[in-house]
Amino acid sequence: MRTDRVAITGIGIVSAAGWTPEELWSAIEAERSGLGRLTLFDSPRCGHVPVGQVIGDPAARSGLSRGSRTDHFAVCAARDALEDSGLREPGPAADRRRMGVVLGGTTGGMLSTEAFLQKLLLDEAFDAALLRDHQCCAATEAVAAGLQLRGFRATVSDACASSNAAVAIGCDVLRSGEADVMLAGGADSLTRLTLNGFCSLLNVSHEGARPFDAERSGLSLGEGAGMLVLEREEAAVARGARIYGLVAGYGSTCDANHLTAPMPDGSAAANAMRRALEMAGIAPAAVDYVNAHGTGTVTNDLAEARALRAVFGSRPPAVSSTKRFFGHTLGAAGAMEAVVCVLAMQRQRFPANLGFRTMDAEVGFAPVAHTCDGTIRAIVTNSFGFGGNNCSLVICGREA
Amino acid sequence: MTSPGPGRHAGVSICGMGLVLPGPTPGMLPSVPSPRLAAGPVYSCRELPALPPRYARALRRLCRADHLALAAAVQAVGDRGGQEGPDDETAVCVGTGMGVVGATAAFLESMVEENEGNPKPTAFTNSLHNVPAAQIAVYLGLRGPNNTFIHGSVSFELALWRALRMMETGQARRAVVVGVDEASPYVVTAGQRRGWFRGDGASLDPMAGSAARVRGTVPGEGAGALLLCRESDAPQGRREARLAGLRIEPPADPRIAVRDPDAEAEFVVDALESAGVAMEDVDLLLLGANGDCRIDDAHRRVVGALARSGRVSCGVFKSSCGEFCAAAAVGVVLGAMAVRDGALAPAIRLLGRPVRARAVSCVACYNLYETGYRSLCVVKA
Amino acid sequence: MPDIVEDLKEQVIKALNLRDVTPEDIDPDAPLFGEGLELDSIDALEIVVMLEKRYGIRVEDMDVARQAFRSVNALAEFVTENRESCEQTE
Repeated sequence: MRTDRVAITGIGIVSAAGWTPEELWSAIEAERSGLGRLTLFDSPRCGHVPVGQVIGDPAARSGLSRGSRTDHFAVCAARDALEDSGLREPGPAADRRRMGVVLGGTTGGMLSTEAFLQKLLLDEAFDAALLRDHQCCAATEAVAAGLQLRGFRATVSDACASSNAAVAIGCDVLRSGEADVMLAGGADSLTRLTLNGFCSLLNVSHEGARPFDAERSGLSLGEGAGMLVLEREEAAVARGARIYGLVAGYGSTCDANHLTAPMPDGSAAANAMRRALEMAGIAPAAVDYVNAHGTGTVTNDLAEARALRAVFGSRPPAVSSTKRFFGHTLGAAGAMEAVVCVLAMQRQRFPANLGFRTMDAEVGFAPVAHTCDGTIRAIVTNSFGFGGNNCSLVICGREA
Repeated sequence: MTSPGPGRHAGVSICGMGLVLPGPTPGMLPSVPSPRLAAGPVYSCRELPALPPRYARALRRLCRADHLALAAAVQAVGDRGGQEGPDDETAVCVGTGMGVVGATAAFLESMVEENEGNPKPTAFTNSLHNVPAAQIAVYLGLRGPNNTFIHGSVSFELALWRALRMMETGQARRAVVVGVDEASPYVVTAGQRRGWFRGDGASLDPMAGSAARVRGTVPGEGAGALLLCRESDAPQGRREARLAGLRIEPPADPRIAVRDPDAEAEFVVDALESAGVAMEDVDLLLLGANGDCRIDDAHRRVVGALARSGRVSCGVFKSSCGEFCAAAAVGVVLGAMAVRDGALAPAIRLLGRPVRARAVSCVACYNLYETGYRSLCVVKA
Repeated sequence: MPDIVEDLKEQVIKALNLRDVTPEDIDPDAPLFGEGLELDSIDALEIVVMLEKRYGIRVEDMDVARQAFRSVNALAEFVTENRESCEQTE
């Protein structure tokens, strides 16, 4: 057994398609989208587009006395993941200074920052309390405090690649021996800023994202949190933990080309996948499933399709984007999709690329149309973000 | 959260440095969107630093934080001039506590005032935290891993940590590490309301605030950048600064007043030890003290505990830049410059006379933050 | 038409923050994107915002925009046509 392999021993998720991995998986089996009407706030300009809004009361579920919607999502998913790994009560011998957390996020407590600005500009009142949980790292600190994780803490914000980066960082922390247990994931809530922002880019779909479909009309925003509990494989085996699989490799690159537009040839994205596979020691031909970034915008889908062809040749493995299930959750997307990958591998089922009907010749392949059986030993999961950030993870079984 | 042993960091050279500092005295911010917001005092860069002419087209899109970060990075890397091809092996790691506040505020202000009338695409895309890192990558052609850390006052330290780790594990061969924060009337006002910043217009005088019982510090802005490379890749025949160690520790107890100075001194000694440095080898302990008597007192108690085993030369630097989340970058770059040049830059203010007369060859940058986080970064010849 | 062309030049310079460009520098027949002013996709979106703000024309389809934003003259034609149709429907 290689001593630096990183095992996934717990998962947690909060999404528009469910508050638990089981709920989410039933939605994936039923091919039921979590996209729906926005009720979280009024949006005169963009209120009509479908979004992946989490239903229910996150504050009640998190039990936190304060914090942003993002913080609540993060704490719920983190608590479930830690519970799932059996480390919620790690025993008196456990050193909590050896347990850490690394999260990705983009907007943190922006919802209340928006309320702050409304008060300031419309009522001339400066309500500093509304800024208290503004930063993304508030979620990281809330998770650390709530679950008594006293070790390594970091918050990374690489736009839509944030939480894949968080998983990669979590693995590096374990491999260098700076912690024994790492919670790695991401959380983001819907905000007026991101909704209006993406609408101003004219890339939000009016009927819901249909990634890779010839008639796609843009992305759909969502919210939520995804968390993985990571441990060195040998430590996980030694304590008799249930091991879902490994994070065997990760690779990240930057397009260094344009602030928002992906490099049309997808070359830097392809390099991110190649680096991840190289670290994992897995040949492209051995990959059974790719969970694509697949936002449903023309520019992303075509660039990603080219990147996939560059890595896997003209016949890529089974590919699906699962974004129509809960929307594009920005800083949480990578970690939530990593949870989908873990579930797919556990159940040996390919999750559907919900919303796909018509093959796009320019994409050049048809994604998984319906959730179905498959042999899944090795998975590549992609997250690409503004700023040209590309981060790919390889998740595989222990025998892959 | 420990740093790896000395053997592992020994191979990292600092082969470029960049620093963008505000003016020497606090001034007022130029534009304030609401009468409810305070205009200053704040250490701010009245004129943003010039960028090479080929960046002229870029200027129209650069926000304040982007501009500060890019200017520091260009100083550290040298203007690649667009001559060389893209570089797949250099990572960009940025730490910023607040991100691009101005762009975020601009987008939100127009969204609120016009009731979502005409959201500005550029303000939105510029509001993302990773824009400074992306701009550096675009203009310097750096295609390696690109990470931005947003984690309060240890944002820069985490970026540095990440760069070291990626170089160790072969994920990157070189790294540009930048700490940046821009001044904003929102940050200034919020900080004043919370008692972090004072509004009296006095200059910052770290470690003097204790006697006067001055509460609050003065906000600032700026950027510091390092180009890290493997020692084997470093240009020969030049005196180089090496990054010998880094340690970041989250708070055990978030209330700074109850911290045990002996335990803190132990943290410093331990962190130095794992960098292969003894306390007596340290020519300068550069402190993150910021003129707020509570923070200064905490630093003073730690120095007092350390001094029991021999005198220590201490210096401060925040009188040159004010306080901001990523200000540790300024300290580390100043420390690296001191080691490279063998002498201290004027931005460093010595507390008392130096203990040793010899040229500076080892600087330890120690920060103890209001949030209870602390960090130690060691730079050696 | 000439008035619209001149106004559009000024609006484009303002909206895109083209600090080193004057209206005289812009050839109304020259392509706006790629070469010439070297504008990109974000600039196109800024022009969309400008059209709505200045002329009350709402563009929601980037394919339409790509055609209409070929040059300042093409933009002027687009504005003239769409403004008229707006006025007629009012």
